[in-house]
Amino acid sequence: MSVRYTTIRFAVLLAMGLLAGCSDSTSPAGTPPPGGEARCIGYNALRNPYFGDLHVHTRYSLDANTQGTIVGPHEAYRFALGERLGIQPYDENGEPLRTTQLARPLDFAAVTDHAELFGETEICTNPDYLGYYAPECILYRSFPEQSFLIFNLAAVGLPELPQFPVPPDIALISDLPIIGANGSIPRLPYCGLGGEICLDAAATPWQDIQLAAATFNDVTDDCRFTTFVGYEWTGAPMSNNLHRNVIFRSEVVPAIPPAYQEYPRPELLWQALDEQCGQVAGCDYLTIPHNSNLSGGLMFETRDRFGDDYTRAFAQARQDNEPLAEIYQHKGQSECLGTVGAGANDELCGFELLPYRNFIGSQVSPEFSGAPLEQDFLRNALAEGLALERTLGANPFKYGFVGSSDTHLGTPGLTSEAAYPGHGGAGGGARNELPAGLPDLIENSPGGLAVVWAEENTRDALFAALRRREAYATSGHRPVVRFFGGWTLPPDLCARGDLVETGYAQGVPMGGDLSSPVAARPRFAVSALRDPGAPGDPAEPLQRIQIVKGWVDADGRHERVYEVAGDPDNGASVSLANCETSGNGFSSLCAVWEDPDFDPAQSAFWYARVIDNPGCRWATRQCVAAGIDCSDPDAVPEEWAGCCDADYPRTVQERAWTSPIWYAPGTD
Amino acid sequence: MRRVLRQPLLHFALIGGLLFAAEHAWRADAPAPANAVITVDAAMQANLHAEWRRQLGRAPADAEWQAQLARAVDDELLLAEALRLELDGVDPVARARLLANMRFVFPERRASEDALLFEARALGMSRSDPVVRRRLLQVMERRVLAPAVPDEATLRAYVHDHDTRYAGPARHGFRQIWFADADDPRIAAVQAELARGGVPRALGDAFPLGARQSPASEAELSRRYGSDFAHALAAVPAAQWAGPLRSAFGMHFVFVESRVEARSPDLARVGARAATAWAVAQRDERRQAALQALRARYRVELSPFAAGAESG
Repeated sequence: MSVRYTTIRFAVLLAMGLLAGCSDSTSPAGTPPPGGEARCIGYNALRNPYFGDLHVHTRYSLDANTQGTIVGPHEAYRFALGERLGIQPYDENGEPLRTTQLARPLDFAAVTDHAELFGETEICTNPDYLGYYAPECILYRSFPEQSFLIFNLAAVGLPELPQFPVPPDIALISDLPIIGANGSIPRLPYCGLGGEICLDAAATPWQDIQLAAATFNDVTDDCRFTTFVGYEWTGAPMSNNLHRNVIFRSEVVPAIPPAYQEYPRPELLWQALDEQCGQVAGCDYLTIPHNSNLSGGLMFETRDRFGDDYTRAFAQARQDNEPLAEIYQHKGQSECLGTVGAGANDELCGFELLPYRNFIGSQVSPEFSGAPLEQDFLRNALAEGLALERTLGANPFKYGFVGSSDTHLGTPGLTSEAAYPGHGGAGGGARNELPAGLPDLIENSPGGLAVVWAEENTRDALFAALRRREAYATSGHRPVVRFFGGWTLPPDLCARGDLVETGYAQGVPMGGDLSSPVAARPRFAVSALRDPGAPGDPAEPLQRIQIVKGWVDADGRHERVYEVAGDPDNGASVSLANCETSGNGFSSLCAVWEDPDFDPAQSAFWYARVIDNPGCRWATRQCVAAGIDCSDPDAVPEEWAGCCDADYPRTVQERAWTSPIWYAPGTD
Repeated sequence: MRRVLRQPLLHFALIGGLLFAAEHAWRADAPAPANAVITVDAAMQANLHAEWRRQLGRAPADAEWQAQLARAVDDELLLAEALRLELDGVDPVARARLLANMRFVFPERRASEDALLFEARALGMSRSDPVVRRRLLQVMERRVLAPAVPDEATLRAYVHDHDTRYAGPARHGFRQIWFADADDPRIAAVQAELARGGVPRALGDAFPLGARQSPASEAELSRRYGSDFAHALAAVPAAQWAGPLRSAFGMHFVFVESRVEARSPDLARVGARAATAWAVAQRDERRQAALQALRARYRVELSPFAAGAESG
């Protein structure tokens, strides 16, 4: 046996011997810094689009675990690579009753389990820990569905809980201590004083997550698939969502991920990450907030935890740590609510809009939650950021856009409207038996994807692209979208073959900043290719491209939607009887657009929205397949009632949202 | 070799291996006595049945009950083996729990730890205490799942069976001139120029993927351009203009400027990652194999049990 092979024999021992914590190991040699020399066969200095999912839960997330998800991070990555996966529910022999597979593998993915509940989950399901017999754990094992609420609201939403209408059959919540002595959020009682027991237990899932990321990250020059080590910081005071996914650039990560109980505000999270990662050689991170639509007014607050206005340093730190936000996922879009200003005329804001403002809406009742708030949506926050920048000198809400799934079945990238099995989590689960009707709450959806323009498919190149916001979100499909802005972009760029070279040479890509004006008005070039689709994952042609502009002046904040390519009245339609589509669309669209209303004294942002022809929404496809007839409501079985709920659309126009390009007066 | 030694995976592995070796050195395995018997009596079965009903709110179906019984037998096998190896005195958690129990039950007793452990065992506490019991099962599972190392043939077969992960597919890099409209009159002009043996001067329309496609596999090209285009492109001769090829978006003239041949998996490049993936994927099978070996060493006695007969 060769020497080389012997090293492999050693290496495999880690499958069992992972227990030892070595998370701060030195990085493997040979990875160039961003912008360095090519590592991959597919290197492209002018950048390729890579499709991925940065929001994936597996059995290490308690809310997934309670719903019967036994898929772990290893299996999740295999699924992302295109392998078939068995998913919940399972039969008496532990065999899955459903299987699923991506029609198209992903290029990258990050498993992002809830850090707060790593320890709690492990203890409740692993009898090694004395807490296994704590009352909460017995409850968890006995009534897993209800314990979703208890763990997620009680564990991470505790401080304001007395104000929250507690359902009468959930007694445990009110029995828990209200707040820890040092101002941190208490963990569940069995975690011990200060939570040490749960912190120790968290090391095991966290190490398996790191092992899976190392095992499936392709470090050869094939660069076929990239993993990121990540986790979710799961803060939801009073069930108002402040969740953030933390993505690490390399395998150098904190020994235990900083969690909400110890760091109960975003700024405390960033402080902890700076200490445990930012100041550690080889470690780098960014955070991506999601579901601001469910934050009950909290996500884009303009005051810090002491009630003080943001300072310039605080605003800049938020911008630096958080270059991107998840604009769309399983639990709806966070782009725009469309109730005020020019946005009130934007009918496309109705897309996948959840009708409530926090998790109480899905877990208890929409009436207890309240209607969604305009301030929780990104378009509004981006404009607020411009206004704050004028007074502070730094923009705290300078967000680019990505989409992701937020699957709780360990199925990254399962975002097709076709054959959607649900994503569990706050949506519907299938713990013991196959769902009789729709596999998810009617308001939820398969979620989106993150697309990154990078030179090659490596952690360094993708992370650098995320940092500079050269990324866009899709509603789960795979269109290709370029977006450049600049003062001297040629007006005939769409009719030339050098769009990309010229775009970079004479402008900035999505996520960038316009320089100070060298012409009267900026031009924007947007070019899109339809998703060609794949067997089992059909896609519609493009319908149109819009540019959404937001700006601030002395009168306040403004926004406007411009039609720049395609045809909103192209007559495309879809039959609700059989989901067949009709009418023409476009396989590609391109436009060079000059902002007719530009004023160099006004701060502004522009992003492109690329809209497909309509197709059947996931639920409509399943309702049609099941032969549900809404003309006779009495004959519709209760589990299919969502099919006929007039509050939700039957069709969907898939779309992509590019990261914005910004302009601020006085920029060099 | 030096590069391999710097791998964090290897560091993990070495430490894990040392832990494993230390645990095994602690107590050498001796064969179980030939006449060892595993009993799952009626009372245990009644408990199982009641627990099922409590958790799911209904009685198990026959198949579910048989599966439950099989799991109970497996647990008893592992437990018997753990006790034969006296792991309840070795494992720190189990040992501490037994001693704590004894001191709680007999607070006045002055005896050595070994004497207390002996008594705890005599009282059957290692089987009956739920924490010790579950702990011993976990320890045994970890032992039977001790590091599996694929032999070279197994690893080669595994890598071969998962070539979508580990093989290097053929790649095609090309320049292109793209026309969005299949009826664009410029297409005929380019064709005429190619027919004359010339080089096309047209730039075509603006293509967002760029005028130069970096080397990509046929699968990747299918995802970006559609499968017909990818298939046709793979057959285009290198280093000359060809086309037009139809994609999902229009017509492309292409000049294949780089081709990377398909490469079979190279164990030096992917072996460590593949071996880990193999070991993780084997967890269930290896557990079953270990249990099968144990079953051969014990005689299993299942008492008759009628599900309806248990009280309350």
